[in-house]
Amino acid sequence: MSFLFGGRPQPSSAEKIAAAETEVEMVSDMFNRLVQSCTKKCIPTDYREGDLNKGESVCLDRCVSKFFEVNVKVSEKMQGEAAGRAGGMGMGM
Amino acid sequence: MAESQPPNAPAPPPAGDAGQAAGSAAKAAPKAEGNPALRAMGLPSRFKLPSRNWMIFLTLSSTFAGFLIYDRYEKKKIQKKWCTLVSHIADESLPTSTMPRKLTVFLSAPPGDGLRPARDHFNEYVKPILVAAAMDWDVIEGRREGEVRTKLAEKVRRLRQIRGEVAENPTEPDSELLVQATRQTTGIQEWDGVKGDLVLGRHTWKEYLRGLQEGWLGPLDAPVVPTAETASSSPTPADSPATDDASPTAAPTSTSESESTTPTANDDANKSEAPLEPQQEQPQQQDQQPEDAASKSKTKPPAVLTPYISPSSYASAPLPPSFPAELDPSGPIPFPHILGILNTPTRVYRFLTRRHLADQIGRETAAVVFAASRAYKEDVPTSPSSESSGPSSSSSETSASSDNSPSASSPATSTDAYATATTSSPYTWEQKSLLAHEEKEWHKSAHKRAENEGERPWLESIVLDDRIATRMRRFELEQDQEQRANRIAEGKEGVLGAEVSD
Repeated sequence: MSFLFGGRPQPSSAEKIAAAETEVEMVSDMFNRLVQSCTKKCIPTDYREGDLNKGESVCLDRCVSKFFEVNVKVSEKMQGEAAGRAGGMGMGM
Repeated sequence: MAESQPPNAPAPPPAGDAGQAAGSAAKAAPKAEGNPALRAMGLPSRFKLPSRNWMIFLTLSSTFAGFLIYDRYEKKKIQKKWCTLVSHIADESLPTSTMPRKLTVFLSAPPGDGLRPARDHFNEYVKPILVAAAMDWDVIEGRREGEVRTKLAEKVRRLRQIRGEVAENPTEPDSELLVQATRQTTGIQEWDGVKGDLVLGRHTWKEYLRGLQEGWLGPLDAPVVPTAETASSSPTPADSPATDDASPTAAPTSTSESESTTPTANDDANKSEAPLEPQQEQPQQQDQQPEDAASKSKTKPPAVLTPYISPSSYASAPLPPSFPAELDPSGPIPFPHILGILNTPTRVYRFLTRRHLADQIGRETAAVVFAASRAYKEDVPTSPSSESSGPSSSSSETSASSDNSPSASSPATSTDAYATATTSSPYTWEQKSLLAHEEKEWHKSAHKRAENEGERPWLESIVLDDRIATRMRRFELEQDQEQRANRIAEGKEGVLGAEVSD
């Protein structure tokens, strides 16, 4: 997440725990958003049975795959911008 | 009279008119007021027809528009019919621990054109039905001649390695293998039914057959190519020792892809320590090139590889131990594509009759979706006057049965060494003649052979090994499904299992 420069001191255990906590929160947040978004798109509101049918399965596969690709692309872009700015301003992302 | 003088000149015409009017006094009154029929009905009778030129224009444009609108309306209805036929499959339940059925679609840029027409053709005719049936598919695309063959052969070789065959240079595991391994560990099952290949167009079909045979009958390792020439200097013949089982064609083919294969060729040549003395200088020159190219090739393998086995060696190649009893069924899809300004009438005709194509392709795709397959037919040639000898002779070097196949239309089978060198097989396989009529429409640039070019799967006639051909199957729609489709078209039936809203 954050890249440390050579001069910074190592994070203490409290900071490491905090970083881990934020990461867990981020992952679960992403999971929830993913589930919500793909359910809205792929599963029609009028269903009669609990099993996923093939149409919904395939749609969910594609939705999840697209979500992650978008995620990756956006984060690449942001990291690129942040790296560019960090070089100028000396700040980490 | 002075008054009568000036009106003399204008007098006779009005007098004439008045005379005429007086003569046709009975018609004068209704002529001035419009159509008597309309007047009699009480409708306003002030309308008149447009002029002659407008009439011509309106007739032509409205007939064209009429043809177009009718055709598109019918096409939509036909596609809806095929979609309705298959959409009950999308409602079947699928447990979350099973992968859906994944087809493989082979798309290749038609000769003389780019990839976009192929993609558009797929999106317009094939995709709606696949989407309606909730099929998942994987696309193998090829921009140049030979790419689809390369990719398919790579895929088959990879499959063989997964099934246990050992290669000298095993392909590196990539993300695909990792994903499969993860699936195995988590307990997710692959689809256990038949999968299937959809092949669009005759050119892609030829490459598909070549790639299939190259993958199954060819070696797992790339044949050692004699030291490739530099791309800049003129091609010099290589003196290195003969390659192993494959291709005398490897030498000329290497020049065509010299830029892309110099890395591999040089690696092989350096490893095998062929007598490089006459070529000591060349590797040094080439070292700089492969270093530049190798860094590129590390990220991406070359698009078109030299084939690992040439068609003439199909019959002598052993079947691999991992060869399945039946290959995945295939569905060749017609892809009419014609270029050229003189072909404009044909193209306009096709533009106005797309409904027939939609029907044909819809039928084929529905057959793929239903996974209803049959074996390919093997028609034994019966005419004694045919060039190919009967099953008795084995040493004749005729152009085998490929020219006798019902495809008599393809003029593209010009000089090809491969067909003449094949052993005569007693069968005229159905695969050879499928979609053969499309070859007439290929752009003439496809028939031009450049110097030192590698093999041209499009131009050479199809060579089929019998062992592979017997194991191939073809998707074909069953009779009762066909009848059900007709009933849907008439409106007597709907989606299978759907609730009727009466």
